[in-house]
Amino acid sequence: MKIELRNVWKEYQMGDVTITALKNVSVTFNPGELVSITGPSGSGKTTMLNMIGCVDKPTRGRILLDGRDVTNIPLDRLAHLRLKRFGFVFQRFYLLPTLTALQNVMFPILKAGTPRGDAKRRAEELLESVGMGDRKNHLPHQLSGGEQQRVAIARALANNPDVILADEPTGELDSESGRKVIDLLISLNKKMGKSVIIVTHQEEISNRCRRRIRLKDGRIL
Amino acid sequence: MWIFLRGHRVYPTLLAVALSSVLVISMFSVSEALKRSVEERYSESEEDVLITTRHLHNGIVGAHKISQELEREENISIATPVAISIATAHISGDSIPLIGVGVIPGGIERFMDNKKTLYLSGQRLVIEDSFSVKGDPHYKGNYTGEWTGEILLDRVLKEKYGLERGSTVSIGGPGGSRNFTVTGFFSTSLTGGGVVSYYVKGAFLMHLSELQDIMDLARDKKGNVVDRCWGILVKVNEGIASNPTLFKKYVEELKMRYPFYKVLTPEERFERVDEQYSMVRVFSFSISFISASSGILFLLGIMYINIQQLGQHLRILKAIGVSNIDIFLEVYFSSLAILTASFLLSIPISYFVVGYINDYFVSSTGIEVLYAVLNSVVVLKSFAFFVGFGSALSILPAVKAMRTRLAGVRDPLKRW
Repeated sequence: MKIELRNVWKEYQMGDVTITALKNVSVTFNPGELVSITGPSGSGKTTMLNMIGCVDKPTRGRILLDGRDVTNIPLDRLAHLRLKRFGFVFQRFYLLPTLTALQNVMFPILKAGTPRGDAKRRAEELLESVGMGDRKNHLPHQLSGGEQQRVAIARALANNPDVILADEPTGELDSESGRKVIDLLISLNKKMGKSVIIVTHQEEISNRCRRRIRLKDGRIL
Repeated sequence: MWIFLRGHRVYPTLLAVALSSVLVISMFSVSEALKRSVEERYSESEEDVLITTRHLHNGIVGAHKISQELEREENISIATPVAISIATAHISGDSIPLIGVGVIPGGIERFMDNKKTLYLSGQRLVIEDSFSVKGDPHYKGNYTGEWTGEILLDRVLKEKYGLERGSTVSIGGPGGSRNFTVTGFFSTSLTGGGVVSYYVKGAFLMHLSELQDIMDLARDKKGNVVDRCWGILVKVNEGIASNPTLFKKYVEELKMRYPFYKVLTPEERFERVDEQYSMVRVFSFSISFISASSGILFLLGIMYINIQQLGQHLRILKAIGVSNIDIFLEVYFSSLAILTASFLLSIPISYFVVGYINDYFVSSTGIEVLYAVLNSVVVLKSFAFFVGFGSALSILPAVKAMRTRLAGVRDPLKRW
């Protein structure tokens, strides 16, 4: 899926103060790209990721997915779009604590309307593919951080999205677990042709991506 | 996926909601039994017509005379007057308020069914023994006739005071006190429990004129005979009773003849008493409502806690594309599942509670009457009330969860 941000501005109102997180950002992501977004804290990395993933709307400017302007479409349609076209990986995993690894992966598949049997088969395959097949019946608190992040990646892949958006995916992991997670994301890009966009402040992760975008004070350098 | 139906707090929640449901079912069971009981009393009562004034007010003047006049009519097979009044009994040093019923032996028996059951003023009396003197001898000569001194006592008093046939009790009222000899016993639902038994502690039957004399119903203040009673039970001839048109016409005639009294058929009496019992049903419904509210509010509290605890996750779920309606349904159906499971759990518990209620009251009154009825109608009514009410209120936490605002990818606490 081709993603275009055209002259995007994002402003937040904090009391009387207006904070401009993105300033006239224009960027295009082509299908199958492996991209890192780096920059210091407060440079607008996460805001940009939210714009790409249609989690947030720009104050000015336009967002196009495969050439279609999605800037002003209603929130419920945006939700459906996110469910089917994007996979999200969070720094803190955010697996549902009351569900097992398998159920966590099944959840978005079921919500996309897939029958339970098919959802279960697909969730098992995904967990197998991230090396968590033997831990599928464990609850999140019974898994290590690295294992939880791998389950979260399987969940991100649940509805076979075009784009994986990962925000500091190794932020809560030790270096070994972090390396395995990045290896997994890169392999998704290489083997499955998924677009992978990683927000990070670690140079070694950024260096492994074919394209690097640097942000500073809300602008692309 | 029932994300709210997991964890240890589900089980105590189920149990707590089930207990409130038990009370709802029990109250509906009591209400159903009350309705049935009233219907049964009037469908089984033997009189075709009751001439009366109003409840427990001895307002009919010339009771014996009217009855005798009615009995002389070809359309009537028997008419017998009854007085009901609260008197004081002196037994073993206690002064006990009792409901006194004055009847004419020989007449009243014809209003009993084969099981020796008499329905009076909507109450059921199972009379085990009878008076040895028939008729009403004291009435003769304007209440100068001989006193029989016979009394039939409530079984409750027999058990409480160890009374036997032949024991003597003193009964007193505004007209004075006299000693009576116990000639037998009867059972009644009248004083088995509830509001009535808070004040009166039992009942007795005696000859009508003797009760009238003691309770000052025989004469007015100037000493003239008034012969007052509560009502006259009338049984019409088979020819009239079996023809609804003739029966209706005859009842209308009686109404014209006694314009100052109420001439009531069992159906009309049922309607009147049903109106009185509707207050009890409102009370019972109020208890059901309070109980159901407590259980459902407890459940809603638990759901709110769950939503608060899973708040960040709900925001993330929305970020990854789970729709508002999905989140609404997840919470809503979780509440409904707990309500339904609790209700199902409460049915067997209610079965034992209702059984206990019946056993308790049957043992205290000695009469085989159902005080609570648990059948499919009651279960369905309770289900409709409890789960219907709960499903309406469950919308609140579901809306709350649905309105959880979308979170950013980095910071789920950051809201836009």
